[in-house]
Amino acid sequence: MPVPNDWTLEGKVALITADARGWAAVFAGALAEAGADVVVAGHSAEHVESAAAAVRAQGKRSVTIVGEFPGYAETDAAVDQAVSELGSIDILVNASLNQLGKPTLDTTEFEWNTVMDANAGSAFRWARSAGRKMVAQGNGHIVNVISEMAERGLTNHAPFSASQAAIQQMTRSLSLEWGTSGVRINCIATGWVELNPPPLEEQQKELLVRYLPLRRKGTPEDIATLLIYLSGDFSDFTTGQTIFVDGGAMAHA
Amino acid sequence: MGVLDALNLDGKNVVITGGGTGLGLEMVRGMAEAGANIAIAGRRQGPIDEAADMVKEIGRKSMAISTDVTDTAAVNSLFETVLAEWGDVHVLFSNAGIVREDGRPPLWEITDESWRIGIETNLSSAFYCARAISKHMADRGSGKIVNVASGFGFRGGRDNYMYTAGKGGVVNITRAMAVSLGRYGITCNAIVPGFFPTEATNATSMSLPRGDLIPVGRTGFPKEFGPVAVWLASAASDYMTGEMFIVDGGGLAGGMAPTGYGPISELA
Repeated sequence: MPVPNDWTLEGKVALITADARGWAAVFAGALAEAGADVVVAGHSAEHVESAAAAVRAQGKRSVTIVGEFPGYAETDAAVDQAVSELGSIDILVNASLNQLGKPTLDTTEFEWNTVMDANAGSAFRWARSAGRKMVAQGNGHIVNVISEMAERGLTNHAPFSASQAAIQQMTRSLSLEWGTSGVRINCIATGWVELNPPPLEEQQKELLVRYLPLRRKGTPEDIATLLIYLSGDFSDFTTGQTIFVDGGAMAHA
Repeated sequence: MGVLDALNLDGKNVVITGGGTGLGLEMVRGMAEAGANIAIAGRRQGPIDEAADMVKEIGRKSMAISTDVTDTAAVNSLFETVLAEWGDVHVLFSNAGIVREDGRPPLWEITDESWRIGIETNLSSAFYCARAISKHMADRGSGKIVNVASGFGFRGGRDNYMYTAGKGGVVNITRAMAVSLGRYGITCNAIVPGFFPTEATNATSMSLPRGDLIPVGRTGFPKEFGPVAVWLASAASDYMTGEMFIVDGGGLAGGMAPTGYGPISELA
């Protein structure tokens, strides 16, 4: 103490998607520290396994699912596996993103479709598959970890920023659709977050870092406790929101 | 040492205005349980004394200081008193505000005095408090300022001018303070509550809260603000500034009942 008593995920089962950024290991470890057992899904065995190892290091159970999840059949099967191996699905964390920075005049139709599907399409499929169980059990928490490009534009990022805004708007609509079914869904929008940012002095050589009100890049640890909050029953009056953790970038003129 | 340890408020001194009742009281409880010492300011001595006693029962230091947050001399004196006693203020919660607007008259009947009191209480008070303590925080190189806004800070409320304008001002002064004070190690964020029945809202002439018009199907419980207050007061939120932490049961995500007040009953 005093870690407040209500910050607990004890008895809950989370499913988190992992990508090559390596953030999922921090998030999965944080969920496990708060008491959750965690299923990790993703296409990179290395990153899925490192997230699962972070769960086991907290003494909690983990399940790994390595593969592609292009349709409802795959996400439904992964959720079913979570329920059969760990007993339920209470928390879904969409923490996997496909980033693309490219001038629009060079962007192919395939690239647009890929980015939209890997971000918005994937988040929707996972939410639908987990939501099926959550609505039935009358309880569930979904957290989509997105980029603040959902709200702010960026040169050469038209498809990516559109895909982030799509997740944000899907989140608002699902919060209404499932509000009276006990399912909560929110976004955490990150600014300039890196797994291992360079030392402060090095970071601040970059003009854009000095422009940030807090003058540093963020880390996944900076959002880990917010993820726990949004995953727990003690946040049950918070839904449909996008909470920005970005060093003040969104507040700036 | 895990990520949850960042929520520890041991040794942190918090000043909260409007901390004797409603949401403020539950934020006081949550932060005291997480380890904070709390100075509670409010207009009426009775409720803030009781809140201070509660903090002492939890095992932390507390003070109850009767303060009119629209009186700049009183606000300055509040912080001078706390600094003289405790030496440091780490966190400011500007929570005082008035929901009630007498009779909610049409625009053309609002008096200068009503406008002035509404803006002073809902907006200027947050400015007065931040002005009074930000230099101390800047000199130390750390501090957290939390304002309390409202869904009406984002959307209009019918016949609801001072509250809507004041809270809209709170939203944007929060951003200005975040952008300006970040370089001194100070973060500034706002809590945006949806509809929480409290003593203050029960006294309003606004339409009755309708849980069935809120996406989650109910109004909020004041105790749901404890964990939010702890998160915003603690090192766990150190990378967040200038942001709005919205806890409204989904109200702002939709369009029919922005903050939980029922537009259908108002249309009648």
